[in-house]
Amino acid sequence: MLTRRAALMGAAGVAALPVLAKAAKAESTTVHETAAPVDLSSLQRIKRDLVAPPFVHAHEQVAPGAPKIIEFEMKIVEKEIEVDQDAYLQGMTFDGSIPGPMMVVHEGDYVELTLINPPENMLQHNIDFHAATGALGGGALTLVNPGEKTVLRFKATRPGTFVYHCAPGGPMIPWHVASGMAGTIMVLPRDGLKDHNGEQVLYDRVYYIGENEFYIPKDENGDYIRYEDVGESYPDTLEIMNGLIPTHVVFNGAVGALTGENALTAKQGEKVLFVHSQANRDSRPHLIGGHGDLVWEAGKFNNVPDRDLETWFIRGGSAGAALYEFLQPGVYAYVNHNLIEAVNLGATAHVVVEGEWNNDLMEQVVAPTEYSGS
Amino acid sequence: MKTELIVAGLVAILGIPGLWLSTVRDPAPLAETVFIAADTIAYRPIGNFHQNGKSAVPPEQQRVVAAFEIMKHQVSGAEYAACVTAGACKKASRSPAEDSQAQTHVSWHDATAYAQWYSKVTKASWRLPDEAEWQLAAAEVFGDEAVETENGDPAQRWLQQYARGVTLRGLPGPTQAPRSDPGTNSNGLTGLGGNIWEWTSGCMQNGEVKETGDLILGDPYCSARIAGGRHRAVVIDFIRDASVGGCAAGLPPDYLGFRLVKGS
Repeated sequence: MLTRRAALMGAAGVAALPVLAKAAKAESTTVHETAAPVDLSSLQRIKRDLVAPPFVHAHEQVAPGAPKIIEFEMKIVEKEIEVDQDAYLQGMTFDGSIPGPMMVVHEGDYVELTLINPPENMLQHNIDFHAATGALGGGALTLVNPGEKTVLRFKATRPGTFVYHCAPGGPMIPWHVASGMAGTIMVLPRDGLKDHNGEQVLYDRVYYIGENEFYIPKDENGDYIRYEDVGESYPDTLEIMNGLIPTHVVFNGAVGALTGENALTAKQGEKVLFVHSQANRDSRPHLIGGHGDLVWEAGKFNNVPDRDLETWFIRGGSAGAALYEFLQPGVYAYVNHNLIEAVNLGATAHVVVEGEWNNDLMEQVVAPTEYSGS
Repeated sequence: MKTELIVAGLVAILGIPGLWLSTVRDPAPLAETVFIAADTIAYRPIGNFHQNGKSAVPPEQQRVVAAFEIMKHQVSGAEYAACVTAGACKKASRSPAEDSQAQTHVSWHDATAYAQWYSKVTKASWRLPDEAEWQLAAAEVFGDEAVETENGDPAQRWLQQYARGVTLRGLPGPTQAPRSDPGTNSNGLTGLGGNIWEWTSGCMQNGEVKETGDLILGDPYCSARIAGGRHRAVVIDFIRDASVGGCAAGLPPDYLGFRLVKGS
């Protein structure tokens, strides 16, 4: 009989995944034996250090010069995360954060990712880039066991915001994603974003809202169960996952991760690009008191953006982008407008906006006063 | 401040099986109380106030609070369980990990039911503190979240209040288990510095702020009660868990518990 660790790491997992095993084999035949070599030695290389969400690493909105090879490095970290009061997730993360950090490149650039699975991890992992073409988004070429690393290069041919996620095969795929292993890459057009008239638009800030839903088992008393390790959490978690009713729906990995002292900030008059990513489940972002001036609902910048949206739809397994110029100061709530998920399950962020109130846009004409009936 | 153990006359009641112990599995020992001397506080009601047709923050009022006795500790899980066992309280949606820890996840109605039951079994009068009493008892732990702004810009008041709420909470993160501060405040009360808010009998007020600073109060809205904590919070009375976020206008309390005042 296999130990749990052995089962999760290898033999049993692969046996359960004939499709992925075949795909990997097919790739090794075609890619390695017959593919013509490509010489990218003339391209400039740039290394980008990733930063934890909701922030995004420094980048140009308009690409300077010719396509480049953009190097990233991510370490996979399996760790317990407290996603709400007394609710612990045996999390799996790209680079230690849920969601995984956002990468930014330009159309025509090459993304070169070094993916590290440190020896202290228990599970094998990989990465499937929705922005990439072929080999299951790179998943078939990047399966790394604990104590292994791999380097994948792909050409960013389509501009837009795209999900990446772990997809190590079979039932491991939804589990790894539901445990936090998903992130976003933004491929900007080389000449930057365009509005509905084809005019260039620049953003003053970009915030990256990664939405996750979690399925955390409870004991007979209704308390969340805390597990020793990620393997121990699997059987119970699978049962809750298959019921499709999450216990938590959160931004940035935890209830309240983007509120209070962690609230997002902006200034009146600033254009803020909100990139919203959900790898597994539909969502519907809404900025309470604001709008989406220009919204790439499906996140793909070759399409004309929608204008003046109240709420926009994020298909599970995609990332979208919404640009908004803050016209009024105050505290805004950025929510998943399934308000049960926003308020009761956690999917709320706050944006604190400095500026001067504009009475033309809104004024309190009569403050609440007593009314005793007519 | 003087700490008093109220013992006399009640040991007898507690010690006689059959009087009420027959229905109570593990009767709560009589709660230790703290005597709070009469004092004057700078008190600011919470609610909808207006001046010249605009929302206004009521200025602080000097308010005399009569002396009272209040429980030294928040009502514990064991104490609340005794009321549930007696059939006088509804089961809370969560129980603390240890019986001795504060009972949370109780609504204002739950807390009021406990006060009624506790009054009956102790043959004394117990009730929730009003918000001024709570403020006096909390002393240096009381935080006023209100922000007075001069320029009538609603956003500034909102932003400052939000920032003030964040400062007052001063907690390392949003995800904390219920935690009564083990220390005592200057009045000898325990548990006040933690993340458990305490129900009071105070209601959401409304009224007019005169140019003189005087208040003309209307009828309060008592389906929303004031909970005392690191900042005050207005919570609908049947809510047991107000911790979930989503309110852009202010920060919610983390957990809801309570302690009682002895005497009418």
